[in-house]
Amino acid sequence: MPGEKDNDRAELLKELETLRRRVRELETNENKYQTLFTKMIDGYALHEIICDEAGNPVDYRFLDLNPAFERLTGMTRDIIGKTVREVIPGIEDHWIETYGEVALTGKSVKFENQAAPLGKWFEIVAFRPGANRFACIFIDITDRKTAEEELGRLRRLLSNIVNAMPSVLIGVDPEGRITQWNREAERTTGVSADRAQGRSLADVFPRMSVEMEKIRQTIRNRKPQKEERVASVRDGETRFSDITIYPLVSNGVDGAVIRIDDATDRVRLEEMMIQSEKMLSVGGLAAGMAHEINNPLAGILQNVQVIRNRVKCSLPGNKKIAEECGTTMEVIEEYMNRRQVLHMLDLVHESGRRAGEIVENMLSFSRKSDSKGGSYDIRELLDQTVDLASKDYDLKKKYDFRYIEILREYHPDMPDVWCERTKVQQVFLNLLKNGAQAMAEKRAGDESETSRFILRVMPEDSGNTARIEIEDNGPGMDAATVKRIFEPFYTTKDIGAGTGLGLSVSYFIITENHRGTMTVESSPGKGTTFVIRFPVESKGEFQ
Amino acid sequence: MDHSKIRVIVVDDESAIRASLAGYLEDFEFDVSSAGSAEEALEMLEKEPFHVAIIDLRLPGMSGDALILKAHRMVPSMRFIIHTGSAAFHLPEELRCAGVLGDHIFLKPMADMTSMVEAVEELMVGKNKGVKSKG
Repeated sequence: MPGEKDNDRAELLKELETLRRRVRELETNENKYQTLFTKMIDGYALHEIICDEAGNPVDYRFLDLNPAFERLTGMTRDIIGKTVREVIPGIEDHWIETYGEVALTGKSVKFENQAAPLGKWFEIVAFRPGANRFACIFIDITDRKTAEEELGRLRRLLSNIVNAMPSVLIGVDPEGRITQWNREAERTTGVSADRAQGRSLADVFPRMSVEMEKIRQTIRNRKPQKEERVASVRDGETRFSDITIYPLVSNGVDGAVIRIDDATDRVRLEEMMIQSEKMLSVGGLAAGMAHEINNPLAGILQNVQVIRNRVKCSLPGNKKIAEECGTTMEVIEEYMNRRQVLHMLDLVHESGRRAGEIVENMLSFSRKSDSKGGSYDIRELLDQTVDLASKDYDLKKKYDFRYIEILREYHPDMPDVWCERTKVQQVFLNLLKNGAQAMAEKRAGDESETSRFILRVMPEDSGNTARIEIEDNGPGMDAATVKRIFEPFYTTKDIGAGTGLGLSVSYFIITENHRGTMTVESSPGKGTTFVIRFPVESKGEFQ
Repeated sequence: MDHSKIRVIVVDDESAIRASLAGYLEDFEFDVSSAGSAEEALEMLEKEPFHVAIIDLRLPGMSGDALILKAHRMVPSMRFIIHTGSAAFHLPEELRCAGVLGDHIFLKPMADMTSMVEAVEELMVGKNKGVKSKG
């Protein structure tokens, strides 16, 4: 059957042609595959998993790998046919476990891994191309990782800067919810950043509720606002803050940042400077006025004395003139007494004398000081002054030093202090008398508690400063009084009982003449403590 | 001490102060005159000598210091007491040489003038004994 034979031949040829085409196709595919395999920039490796008798993966063998794999990992084709334990004897078991699961279950995995010796990061995708096999594709993600790390570093740096700031720094969104809460904010409020995040600022930080309108305004107007010396009471103490609110103006981030700085020390210092300015201006005024006032005072006081002599005394001249006038000194004196003229003269004299005392006190505000300083043991000076004060028993002022208990807490090892003895004693005496008077007033009619002073002398600032405390258990003072207590002419005593100069003169002596400091701590019902600090070595001239 | 033989001059431009000092000393029998300026005092000095002068420093025209120096040259035996309103006064050396003593500077106002009488007596005793004249 030649026809059939021809037919068969034709079939065969056709089949052959098909086969050839298939082979060509396969060759093309193979080429394509080879090209892909060799040219791809991601690393590729094919492995066969090796299990123990129980079927647990214990090793794997390299079957194939592409040039990119060699380039990325630094390993060469030599490893083909070898197992990983042969190539990398110290390989961690978790690699084998992870890949084993891929090869055995067919579940693909994807993870990131750093090849530290190569300085590269890889994203690795492992999958199962056939039974007991797994293939890995290595993608170099070093650039992405570097960028991520840089971002993280930047974030840490920024948060370090924000947290290291000694100011409270709070970020809020336009609704007033907290977006940023630095360490100082945590410290000040006792609320952690985690707990503050997302909550309303007014809830977390009640002191700021009065600022909410300003914060909204700042966000609306995009203009920063600053407020200085905002007072608030914390633990019974008035503190001052500077508050700055500034808008966040970058795209996509709306809100404001609030910066709060504790300005208490600065405000106190400013107050002290104003105080001492006040003293100096009083001093300058006093020096100029003293002469002008002393002259008329001399006219008053000295003439009063002459008048007194002439209406009362048995001076020879008095007697003679009285007789010439047809009367006697006895009659004149009788008249003067009955009309209380002598008493009134005493009053005039007393008033003049007091005015003179005020002028003299005011003069001590002027900078000059005549007396010279010396080295003194402050404890001795203080004890001598207590002696002096105890002799100054004053019925009119209703206190008696003998009934005041005096506790001494003297540091045994005190350096001598360079100072003007009489002036420093004047300060101590003033403080002791004021304290005694205050304690006597508190205990008028109530003897249940005794009045007592605690006198403390101790070194401070590694011996460069002597600290003296005079503490009484009197009625204490409120904050408003404490604030003004050193002001000239400020007095809490009854009109006429004090000039209001004693403490300001004391303040002046300590701060201006001795370059020391003088402060007071007091609250109502808690007594009062005056604290004086002297620099130990201020040898040289006094101003 | 017989005060009536002691001639004292009070120099002060404020009549109230002049009157008080003069009056007080008169009551203690001193022979007292007074002047309202240094110039007036010098005129009086030329006519009749004084034992003691009580002098204010701030005077119209010639100052109290200048008056003391001039009077000291005119009458070397004369003694001086300073009565001033300025607390910051320091006794200059030249006044010390003219016989003014640091103890005899009195600040106005004097609440009690007894010490003024004592000072005048002291100066007179000192002069008679020939001591204290050099301060």
